[in-house]
Amino acid sequence: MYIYLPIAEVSVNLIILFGMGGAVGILSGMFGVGGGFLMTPLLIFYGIPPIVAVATEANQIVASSISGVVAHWRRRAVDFKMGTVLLIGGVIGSFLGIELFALLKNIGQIDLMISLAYVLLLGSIGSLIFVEGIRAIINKRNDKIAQIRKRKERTWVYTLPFRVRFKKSGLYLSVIPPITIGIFVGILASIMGVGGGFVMVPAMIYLLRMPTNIVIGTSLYQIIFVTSLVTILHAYENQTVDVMLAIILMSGGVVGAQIGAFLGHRLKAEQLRFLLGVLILAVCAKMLIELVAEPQNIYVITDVLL
Amino acid sequence: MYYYSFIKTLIVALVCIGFSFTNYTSANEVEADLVVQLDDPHIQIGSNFFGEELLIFGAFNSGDLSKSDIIIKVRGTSKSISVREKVKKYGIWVNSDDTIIDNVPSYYAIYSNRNIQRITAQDFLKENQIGLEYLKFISNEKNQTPSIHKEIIKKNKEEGIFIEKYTGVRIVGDKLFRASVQLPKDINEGSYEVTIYFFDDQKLVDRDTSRVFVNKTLAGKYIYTQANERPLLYGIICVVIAWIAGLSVAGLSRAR
Repeated sequence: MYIYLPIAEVSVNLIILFGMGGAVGILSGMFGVGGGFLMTPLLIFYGIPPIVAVATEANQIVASSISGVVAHWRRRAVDFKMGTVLLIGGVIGSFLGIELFALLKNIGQIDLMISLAYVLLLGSIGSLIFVEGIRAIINKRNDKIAQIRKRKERTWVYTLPFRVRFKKSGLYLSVIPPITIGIFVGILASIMGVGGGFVMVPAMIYLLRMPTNIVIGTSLYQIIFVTSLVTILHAYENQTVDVMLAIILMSGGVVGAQIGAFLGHRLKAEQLRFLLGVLILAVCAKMLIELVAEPQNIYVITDVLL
Repeated sequence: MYYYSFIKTLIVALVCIGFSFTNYTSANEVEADLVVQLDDPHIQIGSNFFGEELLIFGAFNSGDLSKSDIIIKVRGTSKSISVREKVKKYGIWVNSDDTIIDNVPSYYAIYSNRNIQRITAQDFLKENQIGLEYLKFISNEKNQTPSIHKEIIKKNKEEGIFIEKYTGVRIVGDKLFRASVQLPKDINEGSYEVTIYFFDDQKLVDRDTSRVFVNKTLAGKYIYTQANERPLLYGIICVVIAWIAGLSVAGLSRAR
Protein backbone atom coordinates (compact mmCIF):
# COMPACT_ATOMS: atom_id res chain seq x y z
CA MET A 1 0.00 0.00 0.00
CA TYR A 2 1.95 2.99 -1.23
CA ILE A 3 0.85 6.56 -0.93
CA TYR A 4 2.37 9.72 -2.36
CA LEU A 5 3.04 12.45 0.17
CA PRO A 6 2.43 15.77 -1.61
CA ILE A 7 4.75 17.96 0.48
CA ALA A 8 7.51 15.49 1.32
CA GLU A 9 7.35 14.50 -2.39
CA VAL A 10 8.10 10.84 -1.75
CA SER A 11 6.04 7.70 -2.03
CA VAL A 12 5.82 5.87 1.27
CA ASN A 13 4.42 2.61 2.51
CA LEU A 14 1.21 3.41 4.38
CA ILE A 15 1.48 0.31 6.60
CA ILE A 16 5.02 1.13 7.69
CA LEU A 17 4.18 4.75 8.53
CA PHE A 18 1.02 3.73 10.37
CA GLY A 19 3.10 1.18 12.25
CA MET A 20 5.69 3.79 13.16
CA GLY A 21 2.94 6.09 14.46
CA GLY A 22 1.54 3.15 16.39
CA ALA A 23 4.90 2.06 17.85
CA VAL A 24 5.74 5.56 19.04
CA GLY A 25 2.15 5.85 20.31
CA ILE A 26 2.64 2.67 22.38
CA LEU A 27 5.81 4.14 23.87
CA SER A 28 4.14 7.43 24.70
CA GLY A 29 1.22 5.58 26.24
CA MET A 30 3.60 3.44 28.30
CA PHE A 31 6.03 6.11 29.41
CA GLY A 32 3.85 9.20 29.34
CA VAL A 33 6.21 10.99 26.95
CA GLY A 34 5.11 12.84 23.82
CA GLY A 35 7.22 10.75 21.51
CA GLY A 36 8.25 13.57 19.18
CA PHE A 37 11.92 13.05 19.96
CA LEU A 38 11.61 9.46 18.68
CA MET A 39 9.19 10.06 15.81
CA THR A 40 11.20 12.77 14.06
CA PRO A 41 14.42 10.68 13.85
CA LEU A 42 12.40 7.65 12.69
CA LEU A 43 10.82 9.71 9.90
CA ILE A 44 14.27 10.94 8.87
CA PHE A 45 15.66 7.38 8.87
CA TYR A 46 12.71 6.34 6.71
CA GLY A 47 13.61 8.94 4.10
CA ILE A 48 11.33 11.88 4.82
CA PRO A 49 13.29 15.12 4.30
CA PRO A 50 14.35 16.36 7.78
CA ILE A 51 12.70 19.76 7.37
CA VAL A 52 9.38 18.10 6.52
CA ALA A 53 9.77 15.59 9.35
CA VAL A 54 10.29 18.37 11.91
CA ALA A 55 7.36 20.53 10.79
CA THR A 56 4.94 17.64 10.38
CA GLU A 57 5.84 16.07 13.70
CA ALA A 58 5.04 19.39 15.43
CA ASN A 59 1.58 19.10 13.85
CA GLN A 60 1.11 15.56 15.16
CA ILE A 61 2.14 16.52 18.68
CA VAL A 62 -0.70 19.07 18.76
CA ALA A 63 -3.18 16.21 18.46
CA SER A 64 -1.53 13.86 20.94
CA SER A 65 -1.07 16.65 23.53
CA ILE A 66 -4.72 17.72 23.31
CA SER A 67 -5.96 14.20 23.88
CA GLY A 68 -3.52 13.99 26.82
CA VAL A 69 -4.35 17.31 28.46
CA VAL A 70 -8.09 16.66 28.68
CA ALA A 71 -7.57 13.87 31.22
CA HIS A 72 -5.39 16.13 33.38
CA TRP A 73 -7.81 18.99 33.04
CA ARG A 74 -10.66 16.83 34.30
CA ARG A 75 -8.57 15.98 37.35
CA ARG A 76 -7.88 19.73 37.77
CA ALA A 77 -4.17 18.96 37.42
CA VAL A 78 -3.27 21.96 35.23
CA ASP A 79 -1.84 25.24 36.50
CA PHE A 80 -3.17 27.54 33.79
CA LYS A 81 -1.38 30.62 35.11
CA MET A 82 2.02 28.91 35.14
CA GLY A 83 1.21 27.32 31.79
CA THR A 84 0.45 30.71 30.28
CA VAL A 85 3.71 32.22 31.55
CA LEU A 86 5.58 29.24 30.06
CA LEU A 87 3.60 29.79 26.88
CA ILE A 88 4.67 33.44 26.59
CA GLY A 89 8.25 32.22 26.63
CA GLY A 90 7.29 29.47 24.17
CA VAL A 91 5.88 31.98 21.67
CA ILE A 92 9.08 34.07 21.79
CA GLY A 93 11.16 30.90 21.45
CA SER A 94 9.14 29.64 18.48
CA PHE A 95 9.68 32.82 16.51
CA LEU A 96 13.40 32.79 17.36
CA GLY A 97 13.61 29.10 16.43
CA ILE A 98 11.88 29.58 13.08
CA GLU A 99 14.22 32.46 12.23
CA LEU A 100 17.22 30.32 13.11
CA PHE A 101 15.73 27.46 11.08
CA ALA A 102 15.31 29.69 8.01
CA LEU A 103 18.85 31.03 8.38
CA LEU A 104 20.37 27.54 8.62
CA LYS A 105 18.23 26.36 5.73
CA ASN A 106 19.56 29.15 3.55
CA ILE A 107 23.19 28.31 4.23
CA GLY A 108 22.42 24.60 3.69
CA GLN A 109 23.27 23.43 7.19
CA ILE A 110 19.79 22.75 8.57
CA ASP A 111 19.91 18.95 8.18
CA LEU A 112 23.23 18.89 10.00
CA MET A 113 21.88 21.10 12.81
CA ILE A 114 18.80 18.90 13.25
CA SER A 115 20.99 15.80 13.53
CA LEU A 116 23.45 17.47 15.90
CA ALA A 117 20.66 18.77 18.13
CA TYR A 118 19.21 15.27 18.29
CA VAL A 119 22.51 13.58 19.09
CA LEU A 120 23.14 16.09 21.87
CA LEU A 121 19.67 15.97 23.35
CA LEU A 122 18.96 12.25 22.97
CA GLY A 123 22.47 11.49 24.23
CA SER A 124 22.06 13.46 27.44
CA ILE A 125 18.41 12.58 28.13
CA GLY A 126 18.99 8.94 27.25
CA SER A 127 22.00 8.56 29.55
CA LEU A 128 20.16 10.32 32.39
CA ILE A 129 17.15 8.02 32.12
CA PHE A 130 19.39 4.99 31.64
CA VAL A 131 21.51 5.71 34.73
CA GLU A 132 18.44 6.59 36.78
CA GLY A 133 16.78 3.39 35.62
CA ILE A 134 19.73 1.23 36.63
CA ARG A 135 20.00 2.97 39.98
CA ALA A 136 16.30 2.44 40.60
CA ILE A 137 16.55 -1.24 39.80
CA ILE A 138 19.58 -1.72 42.04
CA ASN A 139 18.39 0.38 44.99
CA LYS A 140 15.15 -0.28 46.71
CA ARG A 141 12.43 2.27 46.39
CA ASN A 142 12.19 3.60 49.91
CA ASP A 143 15.49 5.47 50.16
CA LYS A 144 14.76 7.16 46.82
CA ILE A 145 11.56 8.77 48.10
CA ALA A 146 13.49 10.13 51.07
CA GLN A 147 15.94 11.67 48.62
CA ILE A 148 13.20 13.57 46.77
CA ARG A 149 11.68 14.85 50.00
CA LYS A 150 15.00 16.35 51.00
CA ARG A 151 15.15 18.51 47.87
CA LYS A 152 12.34 20.76 49.05
CA GLU A 153 14.58 23.69 50.05
CA ARG A 154 14.49 26.91 48.00
CA THR A 155 17.29 27.90 45.63
CA TRP A 156 18.71 30.95 43.81
CA VAL A 157 15.67 30.85 41.49
CA TYR A 158 13.69 32.38 44.33
CA THR A 159 15.94 35.44 44.61
CA LEU A 160 14.94 36.84 41.16
CA PRO A 161 12.63 39.87 40.73
CA PHE A 162 9.12 40.11 39.12
CA ARG A 163 7.60 37.62 41.51
CA VAL A 164 4.07 36.42 40.90
CA ARG A 165 1.83 34.18 42.98
CA PHE A 166 0.95 30.86 41.32
CA LYS A 167 -1.94 29.65 43.45
CA LYS A 168 -2.37 26.23 41.90
CA SER A 169 1.30 25.35 42.28
CA GLY A 170 1.49 27.01 45.67
CA LEU A 171 4.46 29.11 44.57
CA TYR A 172 5.48 32.74 44.85
CA LEU A 173 8.05 32.94 42.12
CA SER A 174 9.72 35.26 39.61
CA VAL A 175 8.36 34.94 36.04
CA ILE A 176 11.91 34.99 34.62
CA PRO A 177 12.69 31.26 35.09
CA PRO A 178 9.42 29.96 33.54
CA ILE A 179 9.70 32.40 30.63
CA THR A 180 13.30 31.30 30.03
CA ILE A 181 12.29 27.63 30.13
CA GLY A 182 9.45 28.47 27.72
CA ILE A 183 11.81 30.18 25.27
CA PHE A 184 14.17 27.20 25.28
CA VAL A 185 11.30 24.79 24.69
CA GLY A 186 9.93 26.98 21.87
CA ILE A 187 13.29 26.91 20.10
CA LEU A 188 13.50 23.13 20.51
CA ALA A 189 9.97 22.72 19.14
CA SER A 190 10.67 24.69 15.98
CA ILE A 191 14.09 23.19 15.21
CA MET A 192 13.54 19.61 16.31
CA GLY A 193 9.81 19.00 15.98
CA VAL A 194 9.40 17.96 19.60
CA GLY A 195 6.99 19.07 22.31
CA GLY A 196 9.85 19.52 24.73
CA GLY A 197 8.12 17.85 27.66
CA PHE A 198 11.25 15.85 28.44
CA VAL A 199 13.08 19.12 29.13
CA MET A 200 10.21 21.09 30.61
CA VAL A 201 9.00 18.48 33.09
CA PRO A 202 12.35 18.00 34.92
CA ALA A 203 12.91 21.79 34.85
CA MET A 204 9.51 22.40 36.43
CA ILE A 205 10.10 19.82 39.13
CA TYR A 206 13.69 20.51 40.06
CA LEU A 207 14.08 24.19 39.18
CA LEU A 208 10.65 25.67 39.84
CA ARG A 209 9.76 23.15 42.54
CA MET A 210 6.24 22.66 41.21
CA PRO A 211 4.13 19.86 42.73
CA THR A 212 4.68 16.72 40.60
CA ASN A 213 0.99 15.95 40.11
CA ILE A 214 0.29 19.10 38.08
CA VAL A 215 3.56 19.18 36.12
CA ILE A 216 2.52 16.94 33.21
CA GLY A 217 -0.87 18.61 32.67
CA THR A 218 0.68 22.08 32.76
CA SER A 219 3.46 21.19 30.31
CA LEU A 220 0.95 19.57 27.93
CA TYR A 221 -1.16 22.74 28.05
CA GLN A 222 1.88 24.80 27.01
CA ILE A 223 2.93 22.24 24.35
CA ILE A 224 -0.47 22.37 22.62
CA PHE A 225 -0.19 26.06 21.88
CA VAL A 226 3.53 26.14 21.15
CA THR A 227 3.34 23.24 18.66
CA SER A 228 0.21 24.77 17.08
CA LEU A 229 2.12 28.01 16.55
CA VAL A 230 5.22 26.15 15.30
CA THR A 231 3.10 24.21 12.79
CA ILE A 232 1.57 27.42 11.40
CA LEU A 233 4.97 29.17 11.27
CA HIS A 234 6.59 26.23 9.43
CA ALA A 235 3.66 26.04 7.00
CA TYR A 236 3.87 29.78 6.39
CA GLU A 237 7.65 30.22 6.21
CA ASN A 238 8.88 26.94 4.76
CA GLN A 239 5.84 25.11 3.31
CA THR A 240 7.05 21.92 4.95
CA VAL A 241 3.98 20.64 6.84
CA ASP A 242 2.68 17.50 5.13
CA VAL A 243 -0.92 17.17 6.27
CA MET A 244 -1.25 13.71 4.71
CA LEU A 245 1.75 12.44 6.68
CA ALA A 246 0.44 14.13 9.84
CA ILE A 247 -2.95 12.41 9.53
CA ILE A 248 -1.34 8.98 9.05
CA LEU A 249 0.87 9.50 12.11
CA MET A 250 -2.04 10.81 14.18
CA SER A 251 -4.20 7.77 13.45
CA GLY A 252 -1.31 5.39 14.14
CA GLY A 253 -0.54 7.27 17.33
CA VAL A 254 -4.10 7.07 18.64
CA VAL A 255 -4.20 3.29 18.32
CA GLY A 256 -0.71 2.94 19.77
CA ALA A 257 -1.37 5.15 22.78
CA GLN A 258 -4.34 3.00 23.83
CA ILE A 259 -2.26 -0.19 23.64
CA GLY A 260 0.61 1.56 25.41
CA ALA A 261 -1.54 2.72 28.32
CA PHE A 262 -2.80 -0.85 28.71
CA LEU A 263 0.73 -2.32 28.64
CA GLY A 264 2.08 0.39 30.92
CA HIS A 265 -0.05 -0.79 33.84
CA ARG A 266 1.33 -4.30 33.50
CA LEU A 267 5.07 -3.52 33.60
CA LYS A 268 7.20 -2.19 36.44
CA ALA A 269 8.09 1.50 36.30
CA GLU A 270 11.85 0.94 36.74
CA GLN A 271 12.00 -1.57 33.94
CA LEU A 272 10.04 0.79 31.73
CA ARG A 273 12.43 3.65 32.37
CA PHE A 274 15.42 1.44 31.72
CA LEU A 275 13.90 0.33 28.41
CA LEU A 276 13.14 3.88 27.36
CA GLY A 277 16.73 4.90 28.12
CA VAL A 278 18.08 2.05 25.98
CA LEU A 279 15.77 3.01 23.14
CA ILE A 280 16.70 6.69 23.18
CA LEU A 281 20.41 5.84 23.26
CA ALA A 282 19.97 3.49 20.28
CA VAL A 283 18.34 6.23 18.19
CA CYS A 284 21.05 8.65 19.29
CA ALA A 285 23.78 6.19 18.27
CA LYS A 286 22.23 5.71 14.83
CA MET A 287 22.11 9.49 14.30
CA LEU A 288 25.70 9.84 15.45
CA ILE A 289 26.88 7.09 13.11
CA GLU A 290 25.28 8.89 10.18
CA LEU A 291 27.14 12.07 11.09
CA VAL A 292 30.55 10.44 11.53
CA ALA A 293 30.56 7.62 9.00
CA GLU A 294 31.76 8.26 5.48
CA PRO A 295 28.63 9.29 3.54
CA GLN A 296 27.49 7.12 0.65
CA ASN A 297 27.12 10.17 -1.51
CA ILE A 298 29.77 12.82 -1.14
CA TYR A 299 27.57 15.30 -3.00
CA VAL A 300 24.27 16.58 -1.68
CA ILE A 301 21.97 17.44 -4.56
CA THR A 302 18.75 19.35 -3.97
CA ASP A 303 16.28 21.18 -6.18
CA VAL A 304 16.45 24.96 -6.14
CA LEU A 305 12.98 26.42 -5.73
CA LEU A 306 12.46 29.61 -7.64
CA MET B 1 -2.98 -2.95 -12.45
CA TYR B 2 -2.28 -6.01 -14.58
CA TYR B 3 -5.70 -5.84 -16.10
CA TYR B 4 -5.17 -2.24 -17.08
CA SER B 5 -1.80 -2.85 -18.72
CA PHE B 6 -3.20 -5.88 -20.51
CA ILE B 7 -5.94 -3.74 -22.08
CA LYS B 8 -3.33 -1.15 -22.97
CA THR B 9 -1.16 -3.72 -24.71
CA LEU B 10 -4.15 -5.06 -26.56
CA ILE B 11 -5.06 -1.61 -27.88
CA VAL B 12 -1.47 -1.00 -28.95
CA ALA B 13 -1.38 -4.32 -30.73
CA LEU B 14 -4.61 -3.57 -32.57
CA VAL B 15 -3.45 -0.10 -33.59
CA CYS B 16 -0.13 -1.52 -34.78
CA ILE B 17 -1.95 -4.03 -36.90
CA GLY B 18 -4.11 -1.21 -38.21
CA PHE B 19 -1.03 0.77 -39.06
CA SER B 20 0.58 -2.07 -40.94
CA PHE B 21 -2.61 -2.56 -42.85
CA THR B 22 -2.78 1.02 -44.09
CA ASN B 23 0.88 0.91 -44.97
CA TYR B 24 0.49 -2.16 -47.10
CA THR B 25 -2.63 -0.98 -48.89
CA SER B 26 -1.33 2.51 -49.63
CA ALA B 27 2.10 1.34 -50.69
CA ASN B 28 1.90 3.12 -54.01
CA GLU B 29 1.06 6.52 -52.59
CA VAL B 30 3.59 9.01 -51.17
CA GLU B 31 3.85 8.39 -47.45
CA ALA B 32 5.59 9.99 -44.49
CA ASP B 33 8.86 8.38 -43.45
CA LEU B 34 7.83 8.34 -39.82
CA VAL B 35 4.42 8.16 -38.18
CA VAL B 36 4.22 8.30 -34.41
CA GLN B 37 1.43 7.72 -31.96
CA LEU B 38 1.55 8.32 -28.20
CA ASP B 39 -0.71 6.12 -26.20
CA ASP B 40 -1.71 8.81 -23.74
CA PRO B 41 -0.60 12.45 -24.02
CA HIS B 42 -1.87 13.20 -20.49
CA ILE B 43 -0.26 11.34 -17.62
CA GLN B 44 -1.86 11.65 -14.22
CA ILE B 45 -0.09 11.16 -10.90
CA GLY B 46 -2.57 10.15 -8.22
CA SER B 47 -1.93 9.74 -4.50
CA ASN B 48 -1.22 6.02 -4.86
CA PHE B 49 1.34 6.47 -7.57
CA PHE B 50 3.62 3.58 -8.49
CA GLY B 51 5.06 4.95 -11.67
CA GLU B 52 3.51 5.03 -15.09
CA GLU B 53 4.59 3.89 -18.48
CA LEU B 54 4.26 5.95 -21.60
CA LEU B 55 3.60 3.79 -24.64
CA ILE B 56 4.99 5.10 -27.90
CA PHE B 57 4.41 3.31 -31.14
CA GLY B 58 4.53 4.07 -34.82
CA ALA B 59 5.64 3.12 -38.26
CA PHE B 60 8.65 4.04 -40.35
CA ASN B 61 9.30 3.67 -44.02
CA SER B 62 12.38 1.55 -44.17
CA GLY B 63 14.56 0.91 -47.18
CA ASP B 64 16.78 -1.69 -45.59
CA LEU B 65 15.54 -2.93 -42.26
CA SER B 66 18.98 -3.96 -41.00
CA LYS B 67 20.17 -0.35 -41.39
CA SER B 68 17.10 1.32 -39.86
CA ASP B 69 17.30 2.68 -36.33
CA ILE B 70 14.95 4.48 -33.97
CA ILE B 71 15.96 6.68 -31.02
CA ILE B 72 13.38 8.08 -28.63
CA LYS B 73 14.26 11.01 -26.39
CA VAL B 74 11.91 12.13 -23.63
CA ARG B 75 12.88 15.27 -21.76
CA GLY B 76 11.04 16.86 -18.84
CA THR B 77 11.07 20.51 -17.88
CA SER B 78 14.42 22.03 -16.96
CA LYS B 79 15.21 22.90 -13.36
CA SER B 80 17.99 24.31 -11.25
CA ILE B 81 19.70 22.25 -8.61
CA SER B 82 22.10 23.01 -5.82
CA VAL B 83 25.09 20.75 -5.29
CA ARG B 84 27.02 20.72 -2.03
CA GLU B 85 30.09 18.67 -1.37
CA LYS B 86 30.38 16.97 2.01
CA VAL B 87 33.66 17.63 3.79
CA LYS B 88 34.89 16.25 7.07
CA LYS B 89 35.24 18.91 9.76
CA TYR B 90 35.88 18.21 13.46
CA GLY B 91 35.14 14.52 12.82
CA ILE B 92 31.70 15.00 11.30
CA TRP B 93 30.57 15.45 7.73
CA VAL B 94 29.50 18.99 6.93
CA ASN B 95 28.06 20.49 3.76
CA SER B 96 30.26 22.96 1.91
CA ASP B 97 29.00 26.00 -0.03
CA ASP B 98 26.73 25.19 -2.91
CA THR B 99 27.19 25.31 -6.66
CA ILE B 100 24.07 26.10 -8.66
CA ILE B 101 23.57 24.02 -11.80
CA ASP B 102 20.89 25.14 -14.27
CA ASN B 103 19.25 23.45 -17.23
CA VAL B 104 19.02 20.06 -15.58
CA PRO B 105 16.09 18.08 -16.98
CA SER B 106 13.56 16.97 -14.38
CA TYR B 107 13.28 13.77 -16.40
CA TYR B 108 15.38 12.42 -19.27
CA ALA B 109 15.12 9.14 -21.11
CA ILE B 110 16.83 7.68 -24.16
CA TYR B 111 15.29 4.57 -25.65
CA SER B 112 16.71 3.01 -28.77
CA ASN B 113 16.92 -0.31 -30.61
CA ARG B 114 20.70 -0.55 -30.18
CA ASN B 115 23.69 1.35 -28.82
CA ILE B 116 23.25 4.97 -29.90
CA GLN B 117 27.00 5.35 -30.56
CA ARG B 118 26.63 2.84 -33.39
CA ILE B 119 23.45 4.40 -34.74
CA THR B 120 24.87 7.74 -35.79
CA ALA B 121 27.81 10.13 -35.56
CA GLN B 122 28.92 11.57 -32.23
CA ASP B 123 28.52 15.15 -33.47
CA PHE B 124 24.85 14.64 -34.10
CA LEU B 125 24.32 13.12 -30.64
CA LYS B 126 26.23 15.97 -29.03
CA GLU B 127 24.34 18.64 -30.91
CA ASN B 128 20.92 17.22 -30.06
CA GLN B 129 21.91 16.19 -26.51
CA ILE B 130 21.08 12.56 -27.17
CA GLY B 131 22.63 10.37 -24.49
CA LEU B 132 23.39 11.10 -20.84
CA GLU B 133 27.02 11.98 -21.48
CA TYR B 134 25.99 14.69 -23.93
CA LEU B 135 23.58 16.48 -21.59
CA LYS B 136 24.62 20.09 -21.20
CA PHE B 137 24.18 21.71 -17.81
CA ILE B 138 24.85 25.36 -17.05
CA SER B 139 26.82 26.23 -13.94
CA ASN B 140 27.48 29.52 -12.14
CA GLU B 141 31.05 28.45 -11.47
CA LYS B 142 33.69 28.76 -14.13
CA ASN B 143 35.51 25.63 -13.13
CA GLN B 144 32.60 23.25 -13.29
CA THR B 145 34.11 19.94 -12.33
CA PRO B 146 33.24 16.91 -14.43
CA SER B 147 32.80 14.95 -11.20
CA ILE B 148 29.76 17.07 -10.29
CA HIS B 149 28.33 16.44 -13.75
CA LYS B 150 28.87 12.72 -13.32
CA GLU B 151 27.39 12.78 -9.82
CA ILE B 152 24.18 14.45 -11.00
CA ILE B 153 23.75 11.81 -13.69
CA LYS B 154 24.56 8.98 -11.29
CA LYS B 155 22.05 10.17 -8.67
CA ASN B 156 19.24 10.71 -11.19
CA LYS B 157 19.94 7.35 -12.79
CA GLU B 158 19.60 5.63 -9.43
CA GLU B 159 16.26 7.34 -8.88
CA GLY B 160 15.05 6.30 -12.31
CA ILE B 161 14.71 9.91 -13.43
CA PHE B 162 17.46 9.53 -16.04
CA ILE B 163 17.17 6.43 -18.18
CA GLU B 164 19.29 5.08 -21.01
CA LYS B 165 17.94 1.89 -22.52
CA TYR B 166 19.54 0.63 -25.73
CA THR B 167 17.08 -2.23 -25.93
CA GLY B 168 14.04 -0.11 -25.20
CA VAL B 169 12.72 0.16 -28.74
CA ARG B 170 11.30 -3.02 -30.23
CA ILE B 171 11.08 -3.24 -33.98
CA VAL B 172 8.10 -5.32 -35.01
CA GLY B 173 7.82 -6.67 -38.53
CA ASP B 174 9.59 -4.53 -41.10
CA LYS B 175 8.16 -1.07 -40.43
CA LEU B 176 6.71 -0.88 -36.92
CA PHE B 177 8.26 0.04 -33.63
CA ARG B 178 7.09 0.30 -30.08
CA ALA B 179 8.55 1.38 -26.77
CA SER B 180 7.28 1.58 -23.24
CA VAL B 181 8.99 4.49 -21.50
CA GLN B 182 9.15 4.20 -17.74
CA LEU B 183 8.05 7.25 -15.77
CA PRO B 184 9.09 6.81 -12.11
CA LYS B 185 6.91 7.45 -9.09
CA ASP B 186 8.46 10.69 -7.86
CA ILE B 187 8.24 12.60 -11.12
CA ASN B 188 7.81 16.35 -11.60
CA GLU B 189 4.80 17.98 -13.16
CA GLY B 190 5.05 19.69 -16.49
CA SER B 191 5.19 19.36 -20.23
CA TYR B 192 7.54 16.64 -21.45
CA GLU B 193 9.04 16.73 -24.91
CA VAL B 194 9.09 13.46 -26.82
CA THR B 195 11.33 13.35 -29.88
CA ILE B 196 11.62 10.33 -32.14
CA TYR B 197 14.54 10.11 -34.56
CA PHE B 198 14.48 7.74 -37.47
CA PHE B 199 17.85 6.86 -39.01
CA ASP B 200 18.55 5.00 -42.19
CA ASP B 201 22.13 3.94 -42.63
CA GLN B 202 23.41 6.36 -39.94
CA LYS B 203 21.65 9.32 -41.52
CA LEU B 204 18.66 11.09 -40.02
CA VAL B 205 15.68 10.55 -42.29
CA ASP B 206 12.91 12.06 -40.23
CA ARG B 207 12.11 13.27 -36.75
CA ASP B 208 8.89 13.77 -34.91
CA THR B 209 8.36 15.92 -31.81
CA SER B 210 5.31 15.80 -29.61
CA ARG B 211 4.44 16.68 -26.02
CA VAL B 212 3.16 14.76 -23.05
CA PHE B 213 1.61 16.54 -20.09
CA VAL B 214 2.28 15.15 -16.64
CA ASN B 215 -0.12 16.31 -13.94
CA LYS B 216 -0.47 15.63 -10.25
CA THR B 217 -4.09 14.89 -9.53
CA LEU B 218 -6.52 14.49 -6.67
CA ALA B 219 -5.54 15.21 -3.09
CA GLY B 220 -1.84 15.33 -3.84
CA LYS B 221 -2.04 18.19 -6.27
CA TYR B 222 -4.67 20.05 -4.26
CA ILE B 223 -2.67 19.86 -1.04
CA TYR B 224 0.53 20.94 -2.76
CA THR B 225 -1.15 23.98 -4.32
CA GLN B 226 -2.83 25.03 -1.10
CA ALA B 227 0.39 24.67 0.90
CA ASN B 228 2.27 26.86 -1.53
CA GLU B 229 -0.32 29.43 -2.50
CA ARG B 230 -2.15 29.93 0.80
CA PRO B 231 0.50 28.86 3.32
CA LEU B 232 -1.05 30.64 6.31
CA LEU B 233 -4.53 29.23 5.76
CA TYR B 234 -3.03 25.80 5.08
CA GLY B 235 -1.06 25.91 8.34
CA ILE B 236 -4.17 26.91 10.29
CA ILE B 237 -6.16 24.08 8.69
CA CYS B 238 -3.42 21.57 9.65
CA VAL B 239 -3.65 22.74 13.25
CA VAL B 240 -7.46 22.63 13.25
CA ILE B 241 -7.34 19.03 11.99
CA ALA B 242 -4.97 18.16 14.83
CA TRP B 243 -7.25 19.85 17.39
CA ILE B 244 -10.29 17.98 16.11
CA ALA B 245 -8.37 14.69 16.11
CA GLY B 246 -7.07 15.27 19.63
CA LEU B 247 -10.43 16.34 21.04
CA SER B 248 -12.30 13.42 19.48
CA VAL B 249 -9.77 10.94 20.90
CA ALA B 250 -10.21 12.56 24.31
CA GLY B 251 -13.99 12.37 23.88
CA LEU B 252 -13.79 8.69 22.93
CA SER B 253 -11.71 7.73 25.96
CA ARG B 254 -14.15 9.61 28.21
CA ALA B 255 -17.10 7.75 26.70
CA ARG B 256 -15.63 4.39 27.71
